[in-house]
Amino acid sequence: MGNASREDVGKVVFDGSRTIRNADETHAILMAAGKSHAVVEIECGALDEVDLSFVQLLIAARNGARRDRRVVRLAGPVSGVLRDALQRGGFLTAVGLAAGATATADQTADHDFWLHTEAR
Amino acid sequence: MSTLDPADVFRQEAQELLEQLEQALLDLEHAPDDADLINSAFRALHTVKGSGAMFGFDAVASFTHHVETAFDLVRKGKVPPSRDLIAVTLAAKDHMRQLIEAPDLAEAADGAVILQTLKQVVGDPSASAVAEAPRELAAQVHAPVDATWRIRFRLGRDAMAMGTNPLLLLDELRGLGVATVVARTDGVPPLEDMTPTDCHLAWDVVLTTSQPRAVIEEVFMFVIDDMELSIDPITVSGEGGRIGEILVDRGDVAQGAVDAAVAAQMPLGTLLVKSGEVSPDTLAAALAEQQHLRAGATSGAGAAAGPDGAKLGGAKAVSRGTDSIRVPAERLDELMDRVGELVIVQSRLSQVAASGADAEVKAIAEEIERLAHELRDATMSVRTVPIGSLFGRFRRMVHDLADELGKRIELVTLGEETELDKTVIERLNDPLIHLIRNAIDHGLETPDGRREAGKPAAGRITLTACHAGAEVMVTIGDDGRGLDRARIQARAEDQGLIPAGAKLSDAELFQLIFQPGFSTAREVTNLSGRGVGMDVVKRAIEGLRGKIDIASTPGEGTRLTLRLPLTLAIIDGLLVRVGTGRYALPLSAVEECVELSAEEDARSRGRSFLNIRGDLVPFLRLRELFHVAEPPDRYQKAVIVSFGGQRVGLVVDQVIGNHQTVIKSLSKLHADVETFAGATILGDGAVALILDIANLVKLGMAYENRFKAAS
Repeated sequence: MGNASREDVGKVVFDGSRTIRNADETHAILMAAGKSHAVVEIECGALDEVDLSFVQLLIAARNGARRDRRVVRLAGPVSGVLRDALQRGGFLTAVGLAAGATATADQTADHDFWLHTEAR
Repeated sequence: MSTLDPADVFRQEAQELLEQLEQALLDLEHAPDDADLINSAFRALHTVKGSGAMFGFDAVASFTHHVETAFDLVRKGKVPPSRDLIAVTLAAKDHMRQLIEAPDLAEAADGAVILQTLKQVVGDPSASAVAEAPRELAAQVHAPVDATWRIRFRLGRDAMAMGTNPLLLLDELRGLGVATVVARTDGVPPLEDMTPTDCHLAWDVVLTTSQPRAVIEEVFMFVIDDMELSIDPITVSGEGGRIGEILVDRGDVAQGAVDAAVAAQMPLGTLLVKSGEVSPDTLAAALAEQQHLRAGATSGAGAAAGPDGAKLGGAKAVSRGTDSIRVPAERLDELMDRVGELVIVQSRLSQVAASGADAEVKAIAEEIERLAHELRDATMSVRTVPIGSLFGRFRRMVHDLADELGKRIELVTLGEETELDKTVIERLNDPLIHLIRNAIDHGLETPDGRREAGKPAAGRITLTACHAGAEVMVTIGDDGRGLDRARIQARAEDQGLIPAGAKLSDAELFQLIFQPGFSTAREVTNLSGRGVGMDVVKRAIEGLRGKIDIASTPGEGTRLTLRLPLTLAIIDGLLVRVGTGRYALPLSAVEECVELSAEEDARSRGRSFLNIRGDLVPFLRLRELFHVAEPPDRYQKAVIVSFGGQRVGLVVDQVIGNHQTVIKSLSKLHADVETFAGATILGDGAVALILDIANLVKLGMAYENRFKAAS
């Protein structure tokens, strides 16, 4: 995926609470990072509250990056509250299917994105 | 071979479920916070309703539905399991039983009154549910206990901004059963094009649940006006179906596209995604559904069944079938008879083989003996059931009698795991009912009377069962006023049963209460006092080759002990010879065999006591008891038997050895012969009498007591 050099990586660190209440702010942060860098690496390890608006924003950021041939990736495999929200929301269910023979390439990519096994 | 009528299967199953319900309700009185009990009661109601509808017992299903609805409120913590609620649910349970067993006799008005009371007890929350029930039930008459649903939803664009948390909706769906949730993200636009607070997500959920569709819809109650929602039953056969079938069934792809992909002989999912027929998300959701159904098919959760219930019923039957099967009791009786015959023939074969010199025949005879022995044990174990199943039935009776008589009664049961022949247990039911009623009515005092006597206000009835040698002892005890010895004596004298002023031991006197028409009750109540019952009880117990002992202490209570044989059919016996006669005694009662030399025999004349490792054990010379004329063997044997903790030696001429003893009852002519419990047929066709160990031990003890008194 992506062909950006190491110098283009912009790091975004989210901590504390990322919910619908500050979704506009989260959106703005991601937008700014995407405009400034070919590769955006998002650090989510210090979050202590998230809801699906945040998950949706990460997916949207990734969708936009794909369209523009940029890279948005997580700094590490999801954990803590984010992983919990993904699991409860059914975003990791397909990951279980990846073990089956019928998982598609795109599914595997989703799985890699969240669990940080995506090729760099 | 007769085939079981499905309706009969339901009746049997319902009987067990109603018993489970009753037990749970009675336990709930004492432990209203016990969630397991609440769930147990709810499950029983739920299954009766579901199975009732499936087997065409619509009235049962309809009535039970209301009770289940009420109990669901208890389960959800909205209504406490109050005493009133338990009482009305018990009444409802009785009505359900009536609807199942004798629907023609069930009064619809009774059911309506029960439901009305139920409604009042649980308050308003159930009112709407009850009102809606008929409509819902109509849809459920053929509804399964479990069904699998495909739930697809997309929330309104502003749902999250308006405060809806989709995670909570998903959690709630998971709470209804087994759910596989797949998020659909294909509607999420690129970051640049999206309003951050809009909801672009959708979900596909596959849910296997026992709840009806209405309950699933309830989850979306507050968002339903502005969302896309479809809830469809899944009816995919086999192991969850092929992915193509699922995609077509879900409406995600046309059959033609699937056929084309199949023709290309490539992985179907990959092809359909490549060709743009389905999105990766759609495929993922379909794969998740396939996996859910496969998991359900493997676990036997009935996930592969649709809400029509037919497949599910079959799946459940198969699953249960692997655990147990129902067999009519008469078939087991027939099997036991055949085993008895086999044992007799095997005994003959062993005898013939033993008298010959052919080693091979002897080996075969031994092998057959072993097999017959195992077959006997296996057959007997099939017929035994824990007595707890019987004890459990009395809890309700005690509960109702306590209310009726204004007494407070605590029922304590011990040794419920004690196993007894099913036939014996069934035939014990009525005698025990009589005895418990008597204990409650005559034995236990009123709360005031008990307080005056310095006892706790609540009386106690104790039911105990335990093995004692080849017998099972079932004891019914109470801590009431005890039997009135003087009154029994007076009444017996009045009725001419004993001469005036006769001196009888407690045991002898108390046995008089089993005389027909004997009653000392001052007043006749609904329950007892008419002098009918105790003689019937005695006959019933004797019919089981059992005995009744009574012990009573004034002011402290009465204890009736029923001594019952473990089985009515075959026992392991020890064959002995006395003179030329052969006798069998239950091997389980035998402790040891010791030699009694002629010198020792002569020395013990007049005393008849053996010194067994320092203990003096009385012995009985069976030769004398049976008036045997032949001279005794030089080396006689004393077989030490025990019963009820007491030991007696039985002196015989020879100990022949083990013998599978198929018990045959003695004729009525021999009913008063107390020394023998029955007869058996030996290998050579001769008849051997079976010694009644309990009586012989009693005889030995009487001898010991006389000896002690004299010394």
